Amino acid sequence: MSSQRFDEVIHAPNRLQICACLNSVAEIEFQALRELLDVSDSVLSKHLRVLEEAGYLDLSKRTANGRQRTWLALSGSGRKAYHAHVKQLKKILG
Amino acid sequence: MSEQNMNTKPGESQLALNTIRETERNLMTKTRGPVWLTVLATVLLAVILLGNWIPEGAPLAEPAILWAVFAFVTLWFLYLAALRQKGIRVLLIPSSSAGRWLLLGQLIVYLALIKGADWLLEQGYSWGTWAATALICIGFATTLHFCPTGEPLTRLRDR
Repeated sequence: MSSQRFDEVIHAPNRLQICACLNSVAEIEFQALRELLDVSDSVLSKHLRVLEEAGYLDLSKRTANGRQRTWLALSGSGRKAYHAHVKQLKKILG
Repeated sequence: MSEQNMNTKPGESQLALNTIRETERNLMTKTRGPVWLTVLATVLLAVILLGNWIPEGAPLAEPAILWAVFAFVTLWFLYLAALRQKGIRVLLIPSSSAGRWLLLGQLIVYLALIKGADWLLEQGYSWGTWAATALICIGFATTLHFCPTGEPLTRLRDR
């Protein structure tokens, strides 16, 4: 059972959306995530960098149909941190 | 850090959880297949389930079941391929405990329904097979439509 822990890195609205999205899938491509969240490339890249530096994100670049695509996934520690953060949010609500 | 953030107001938490749910809803909309696909997959599942109870020796039963299984599996692969084309790869096993419990709960209920139908059939009541098939198909179609990623919407409060 995951513990409860408020996470400042995850709590920022855009990063919370990113984690909510990544939590529900195995991985998602950068452009698909950008369309889903309706943000610009630069905004998304900035927040992904923060998550990556915190160790919460796994990135892989793969070429398909002659195009390089960046695939994003929550790391093991990222999933744990996200679940713990959600539990803490619910606890605050009571 | 945790001491300071325990002062986070309930309103802020509510907003955060609403943000999460909104994102999950948007993702569900993007990953949900068209209605005809859900209907077709459900019909194929019904054929497979009912085929399980058709008396042995019934003509065309085995080929029909085999084709239904083949079509069902093919549809599943096509759906995954279409999602991958959209830039999404779904989890086979949900990551959250809620998602895992949903999956496990459904499997237990479906197995219980199948076993129940088997027992009723042995007692001479064939309506059990139809009821079990209908209930399993309703559950399957509902999950496919409302939880296409296998993850239910995040609850606002834990039980």
